[in-house]
Amino acid sequence: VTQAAGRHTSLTFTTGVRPGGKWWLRVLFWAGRRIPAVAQPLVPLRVIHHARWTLLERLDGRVLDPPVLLFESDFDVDLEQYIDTFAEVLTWRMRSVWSTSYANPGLIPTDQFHAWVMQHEAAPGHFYSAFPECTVDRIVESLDLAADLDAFVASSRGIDDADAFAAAYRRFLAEVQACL
Amino acid sequence: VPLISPRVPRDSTGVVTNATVLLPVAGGRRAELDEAFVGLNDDQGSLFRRVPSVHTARLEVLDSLPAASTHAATVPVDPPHLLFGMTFDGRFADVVATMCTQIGPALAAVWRCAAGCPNIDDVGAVTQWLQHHRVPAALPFSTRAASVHDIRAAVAARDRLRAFVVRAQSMTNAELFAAFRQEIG
Repeated sequence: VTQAAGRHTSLTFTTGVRPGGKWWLRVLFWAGRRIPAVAQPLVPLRVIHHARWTLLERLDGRVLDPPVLLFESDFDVDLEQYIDTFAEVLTWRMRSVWSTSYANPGLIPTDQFHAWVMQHEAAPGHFYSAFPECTVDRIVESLDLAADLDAFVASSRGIDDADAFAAAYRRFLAEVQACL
Repeated sequence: VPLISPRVPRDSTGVVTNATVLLPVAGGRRAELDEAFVGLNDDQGSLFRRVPSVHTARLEVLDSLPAASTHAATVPVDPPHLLFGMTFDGRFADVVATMCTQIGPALAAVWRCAAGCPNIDDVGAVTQWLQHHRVPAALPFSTRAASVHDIRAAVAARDRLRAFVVRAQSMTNAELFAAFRQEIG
């Protein structure tokens, strides 16, 4: 069972990595950290707040066989929509990560992948989000708008005439309308 | 988008830092954890709201781990492990110190179920214990590159401007000028 805080859903799941898979994942994750183009397609989706992949090869000093790929994420939609979105937009990226895992049923159809994720979820305990009612969209738009507003306040400070200010204000609103 | 990212610590996306801590559950205390999780909420929600630099926090239990099998099987992990994950701003030690101060008793009830938990009043020992069990992320990702403080300020600014825009619709230019200067800046 995934956990929720307001509009946010949290997911934690583990999969067993096949022999050789950990080397591929090391390369892939190194590339993801150093080459922005690898993870960049996740940004415009505006669904994920945070996500992280962790490769566990030891637990309390004991070697894990198989190594475990731990995935933690929090996002705006429910799990089914989340997987559907990823499968549609990031098909090859998802395959390149989870095809290294045992018992991966394949990405499409997504209902089998969804069932596989559910089988490997951690037992829920507690989940907190600082912005439970804010979607990624709202947060990104707010950050953009706040920067634009600061710039407008600074640039309009020299305007003393009410009519000139009103014209500048209306131009500003037209520019930021999408973020309001 | 640059071709190559600047080198940053493995648990950081530049602004937001990630931490995943895996703590072995002490013998016979697995059942206590579920009760302790409930204590992390009060009538206003999660107690983590008192820790201002935390974006998200999760506490979960890994009772089983995947087996080396093509049949989606899992095997019990002995002992089960408590997973404590966070995304936060600033230094791990500072966040842990704030947690111990602000929500110490409720967190202690959870952490005490893990083997080797030090006294919650000894912040240095707690930080060291958590750090010892911390596992580095292979790849962290955040859509938003901003601190909790900056996000709160931006959301508040947007709400303030939206409210102002609605009220300003019926203002004359002179009224608009004066009201904007007074309310927005």
